[in-house]
Amino acid sequence: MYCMPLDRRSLRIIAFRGLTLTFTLIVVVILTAIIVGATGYDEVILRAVINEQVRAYREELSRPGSPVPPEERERMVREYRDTLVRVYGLDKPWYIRSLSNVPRLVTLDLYVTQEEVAGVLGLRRPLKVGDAIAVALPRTIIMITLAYVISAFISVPIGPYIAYKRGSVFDKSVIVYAAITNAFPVWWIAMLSIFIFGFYLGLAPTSYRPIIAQISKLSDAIYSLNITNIILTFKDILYYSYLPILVVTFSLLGAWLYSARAVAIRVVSEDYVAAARAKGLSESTIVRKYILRVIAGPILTFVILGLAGSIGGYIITETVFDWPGMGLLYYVAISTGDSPTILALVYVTTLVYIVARFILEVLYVILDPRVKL
Amino acid sequence: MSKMPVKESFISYIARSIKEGLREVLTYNMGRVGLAILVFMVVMSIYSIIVLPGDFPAMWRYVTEPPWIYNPRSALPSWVEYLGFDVSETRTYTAIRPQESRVIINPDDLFRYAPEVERALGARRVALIGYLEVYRVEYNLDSRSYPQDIIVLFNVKASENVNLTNIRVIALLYVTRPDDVILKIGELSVSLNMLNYMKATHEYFSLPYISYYNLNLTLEEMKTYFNIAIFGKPITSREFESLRGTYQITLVLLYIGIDPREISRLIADRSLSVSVDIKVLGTSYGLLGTDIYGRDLFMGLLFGFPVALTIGFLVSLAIVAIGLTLGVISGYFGGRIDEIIQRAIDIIANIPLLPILILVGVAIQTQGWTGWPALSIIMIILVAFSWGGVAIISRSMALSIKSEPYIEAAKALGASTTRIIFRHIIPQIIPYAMAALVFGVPSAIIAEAGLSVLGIDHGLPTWGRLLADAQANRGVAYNMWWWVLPPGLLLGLFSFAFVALGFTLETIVEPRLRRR
Amino acid sequence: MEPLLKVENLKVWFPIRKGFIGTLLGRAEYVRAVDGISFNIHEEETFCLVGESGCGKTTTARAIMMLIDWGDIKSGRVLVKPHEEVLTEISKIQPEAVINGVYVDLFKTRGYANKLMRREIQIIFQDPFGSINPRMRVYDVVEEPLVIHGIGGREERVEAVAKALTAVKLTPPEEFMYRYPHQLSGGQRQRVAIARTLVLNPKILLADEPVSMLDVSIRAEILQVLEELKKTRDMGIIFITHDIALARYICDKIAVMYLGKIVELADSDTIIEKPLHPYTRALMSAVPDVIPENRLVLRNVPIKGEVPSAVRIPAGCRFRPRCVAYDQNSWVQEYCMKEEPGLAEVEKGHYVACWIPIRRRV
Repeated sequence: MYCMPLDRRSLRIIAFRGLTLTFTLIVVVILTAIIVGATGYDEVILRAVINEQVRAYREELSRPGSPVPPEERERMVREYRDTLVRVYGLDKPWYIRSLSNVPRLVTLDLYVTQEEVAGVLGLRRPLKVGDAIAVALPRTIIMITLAYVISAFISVPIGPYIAYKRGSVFDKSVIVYAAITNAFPVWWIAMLSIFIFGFYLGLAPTSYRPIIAQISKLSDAIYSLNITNIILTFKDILYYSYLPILVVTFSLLGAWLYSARAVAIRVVSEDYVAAARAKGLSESTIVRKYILRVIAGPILTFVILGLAGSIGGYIITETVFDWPGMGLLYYVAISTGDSPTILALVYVTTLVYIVARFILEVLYVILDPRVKL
Repeated sequence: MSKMPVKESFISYIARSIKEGLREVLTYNMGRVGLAILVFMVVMSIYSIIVLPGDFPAMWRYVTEPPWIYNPRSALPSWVEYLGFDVSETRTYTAIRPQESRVIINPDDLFRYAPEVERALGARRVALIGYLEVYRVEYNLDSRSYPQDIIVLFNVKASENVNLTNIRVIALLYVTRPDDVILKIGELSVSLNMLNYMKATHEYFSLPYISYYNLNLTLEEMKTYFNIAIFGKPITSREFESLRGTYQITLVLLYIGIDPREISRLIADRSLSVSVDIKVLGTSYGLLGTDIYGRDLFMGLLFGFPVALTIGFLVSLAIVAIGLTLGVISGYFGGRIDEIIQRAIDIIANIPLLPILILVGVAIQTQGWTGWPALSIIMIILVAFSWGGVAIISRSMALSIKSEPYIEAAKALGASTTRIIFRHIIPQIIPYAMAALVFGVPSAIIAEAGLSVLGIDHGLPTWGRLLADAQANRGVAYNMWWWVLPPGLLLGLFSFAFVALGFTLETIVEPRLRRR
Repeated sequence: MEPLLKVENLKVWFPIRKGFIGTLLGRAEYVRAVDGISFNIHEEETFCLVGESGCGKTTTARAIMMLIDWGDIKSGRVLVKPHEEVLTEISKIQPEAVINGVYVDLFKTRGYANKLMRREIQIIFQDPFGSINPRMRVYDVVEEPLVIHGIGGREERVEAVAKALTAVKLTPPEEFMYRYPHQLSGGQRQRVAIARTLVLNPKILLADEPVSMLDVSIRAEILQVLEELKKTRDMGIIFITHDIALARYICDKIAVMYLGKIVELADSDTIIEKPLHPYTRALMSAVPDVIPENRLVLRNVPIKGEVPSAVRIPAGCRFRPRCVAYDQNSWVQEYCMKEEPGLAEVEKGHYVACWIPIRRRV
C-alpha cells in the first residue's frame, strides 16, 4: 500500500478533523445536558426524592419518645428540606445545575446520586461515576464487545467467498439470515432465548444478576493466583454469559455477513479482479491478494467503529437479561434521574466513539494521499 | 399526428416510477415475500380499523372492566387443542331463548318447570310465584383442565312507559353435572334496572358439597377453587380430577313485584326484553388467547397493525423528506450552508439516540402525557436524530448529479434553481430515497417497542406494549408463550417485510450487487 | 451589416483556493483560462474556435452562455444582437444593458432580462450521453425550454417540438417523442440536443465539439444538420473543435486558440492554405494525411514540450517555450522574450499574433 509521509498539508487535515470531532463531542455533551435539564424530569424526580427523605425525617422526629419538642419539629424539618434542596442543587435553575457538572465531567469527578444506580452494579454509594463505569464496562465487554469480535472474525474471511458464490444457496440463505436478524430486534431474541433455553429447557440461567459475584470472585482468584479457582469461576462466568453472548452474536452476525458480502461484491466485479482471474491466478490467491486487501479499509472502519460503539452497551438487551453492564447502568441512571451518571455515560461513550473516528481519519490520511479537506 | 404526447407531470412521473419499481421488485423472491407481507399488514390494518371500537386504547387500559373481566385469564389460543394441548374451551351462548316461559300462580309449578331448584345439592323449598323463564345450555368438558368460571350477562331493554324499578327479578343459576349432581352456583335478587351480570360462586353449594363428598376443605379453599369443585370430582378428601362429560347450565329467572300476567304481556309485545348470554370460561380462548387480565390478545395485536404502519411510514417519510431536502441543499449549493449541514449531521450522528429517547420518554411519563401526543413526541425525536444518513447519501448524489452535463444544459436553457433541483436532481435520487424509506419504516416501530419494554408507557396497545406487559410480568409470562411470541413475531414479520423490500430495492438501484 | 455577436477582450480567470491562510495573506492566484479574446460573428456564419484541450475554448463558450460565475469574468463584454421583440422588452426593463440600440451586453443583464437573453444563444454539448437527462422522454427534453420560458400552450408546444424534431431529421417525430435517451443512438441523441436548442429559435448556436464523441460514420449527418440550420434560420454558429481539418470542412472562419488567447484568425481556407502562426502549423501537421499510405510515415510535428500551466503563463510570447520557429529565427527572439504579440492584421482579413510575420511585414 502506498504510504505518504505526513507532510504539513496532511497534518493540517488531521488537525482540522480533530478540531471538528472535539467540537462535536462538546456539542453532544451540552445538548444532552440541556435535554436532561430542560425537559424538567430530573427536577421532578429529585423533588420526589427530597419529599421522601423529608417525610422519613419528620416521622423520625415525631416518634413517641423523641427528644425534640413538637414546636421545634416544623422548623427542623424545614431546615432539613432546605439543606436537601441545596445539596441536590434544586435552588438553582436547571441550566446551572446541569452545566455546572460539565467541567467536572471531563475528569469524571462526579458522584452517583441515586442509590438504585449503585445498586444495579452491586455497589453502594458514595460512588464516583468513573468507578461505576469502570465496574460496568468489563461486563459489557464480556457480553457485547466479545460478540462483536466473534462476528467480525467469522464474517470477514467468509464475506469474499459469499460474494464469489453469488446466487448460490449459501448466498441466498445468508441474505435471508441477514434479513431475519435485521428484522427481529436483538432484545426480542434475548427474551425468546431466555424463554426457551432458560424456562422451558433449563439449559441456561433465568436470572443473570449473579454474574456480579462471579466476576468479583474471578478477580479475587486472579489476585491470589489460585489456578483451580480461576478455572472454576471462569466456568461459572461462562455459564452465566454464554447465552447473552450467543444471542448478541447471532443477531450481529447477519448484519456483518451482509456488509462483508456487499463490500466484497463491489470489489469482485472490478476489472482488476477479472484481469487477475484471466492471468490464471488461483481463486484463493485472488481472494487473499486482490479482494481481502482492498476491502481491508471498509472492514477496518466497520470493526473500529463497531467496537467503539459497542462499549455503550445494549440498553434494552442488557435490561432484558438484567445484565449489569453499561446499558443497564444507562437505563437505571435515566429512569432514576441521576443526571451526573447520564452525562458521564454520554460523555464517555461519545468520547470513545470520537477517538475511534479520529484514529480512522488519521489512518485514511496516511493511507490515502488523495483525501482532501 | 396520431398520438399527442401529453406533458408528464411530476406526480405522474413519480406514480410511473413506483409502478415500474413494483414490477421490478416482483421479479425478486425477497421482493415478492416482502410485498406479500406488506399487503397482509395493510389488510389487517383495515380490518382492525373496521372491527375495533374507537376507544379501544382506553378499553385495553382498564383491565378490571368489561369486557376483559368476562374473559378467561391466561387462556391459551383455542386452536392449540388440535396440536394436542389439553384445554377446555370457552363457550359463549349469545341471546339464548328460554326453554320455559310462563306465569306461575301455584308455587309447585316452579319445581315442575325448573326441577333443578328443588333437586340441587342442599336445596330448600321456597314458595314463589311470578313470571318464570328457564334457560338451559349444555357444555361439554373433555379435558383435564377445569373451566375457570360461568358468567351470565343480561341486557335489559324496555320502552319508556315500563317502570323497571317496580319489577324485581330473582335469578338462580344451577349446573347439572355429568354425574347428575346438581349444584346451585348463583343467586341474585335485584330490581330489573339493576340486572347486569352474575357469576358462579361457591356460597350456595360449599357446605352441602363438603359434607356430600366428605371433604377436608375449608370454605376459604372452596372459595378460591370453586371452579374445580364445579367441574371436578373429588378423588381423595382434598384432591380432584376433572369430570368429563356434558354439563347442563340452568338459569331460572322469576319476575316478581307486579302482576305476572302484566310481565307476560310486556314481554310478548316487546315493551320489555331481557337478553341473556351465558359464558363458560375455559382455559382456551379465541385466536390468540388472553393475558393474565383476560384481555383478548388477538384484539391487542390487531390494534398494533395500523399503529405500526402509521408510525413506521410517518417517521420514515419525515426522515427521508428532511434528509433528502437538506442533503440536496447541502450538495447543490455548497459553501457555508453545506458546512453547517455537515456539522449538524456530524453531531446528530454522534448523539446516542436511544438514551435520548429514553430520557424524553421518562420525561413524557413524568409529565403525565399519554396516547398519541406522547407517541408523537417520541416520533419527532426519532426523526430529528435520524435524517443524517439519508442526507449524506442525497448530498453525495446531488454533488455528482450537479456536475452532469445535463444540469449545465438546463442552466443554459435558463432553468431556475428550483426547476433544476425538482426536475433534474431529485428524480435521480428518488430510487435511493425509496430504498431508504423502506429500510426506515421498521426502525420507528422497533424503537417504540424497545422503549415500551424499558417501561416507558405511552398508553397505546402497540405490539411493543404487549411485549412490555409480558416482560413486566416475566415470572408468569415466560410460561405463556402465546403472550411473548406473537407480538415479537409480528414485529419481526413487519420489519422483515421492509428489510426484504429494502434489500430488493438496494439490489435494483445498486446494479453491482445484482446477480449476474 | 453589423455582427450578431461581439466578444470584446474577454478574460475569465478562476481563482485558486489557497486555504484559510492564503486567503488572509491575499496572495490570490488565478487560472487564466481565457486571457483576453475578441471576435465577431455574423449571420449565416460558422465561426470555429480551434485549439488543444485546455486552451480555453470551452471556457469561452461557457462565458458566452453565461454559465460562469460573473465574479470570475475578469474583464470584457459580450454583445448580442437579439430579436426585435426581445430587444424592446429588455430596453423597457433594463435599458442600461442595451448598447447602441441594437446590442445587449450579456454580463449586464439581470433576472428576467438575463432569462430572455438565454433564448438568443443556445449550446450543444460535446457529450450526447450526458447532456440529456436519462430519465426524461425525448418530448420532455425538447419541450423543456418552452416550459422554462413559458412559451405557447399545450398544442403549440407539441407542434413546436414536432417541428424541431423534423428539422433535425428525427422523422416521423411522433415515433421519437415517447422514447427515452437510452433507446436512442449517440447521433440521434445529439440531434435531440440540437432540437432542444431550436425550439427557442436562437440567433446564435454554440456547438462545443458536437461530434467528437460520435462515431465517424454519423458525424457527417450532424454536421449537415448544422449546415442546413445555419442557412434556413439565419443563425450564427460558433463551432468549437480541436480538429482543424473538421473546422475547415464546416467553418467559414477559424480562430486558433492557445493558452487562453486567439493566436491566429482568418477565413478557413486562408488559414489552412497559408498558416502563419507556428502553432497553427503544428496543428496542421498533426492532421492525418488524406492518402492512407502516407499515414504510416513518421512526420515531424513542429512543436516541442508540453502545454504550460494556465496559472503561470510564460512571459513574453506565451507560445515561446514550445516554439520551433523561435529557435530557428534568432533575429526575432528579443521581441518574443520581451513582449506578448497582439493580434495584428498581416494580410487582409488574416490576423496573427506572432512576431515573425508582424516584424517581417514591418
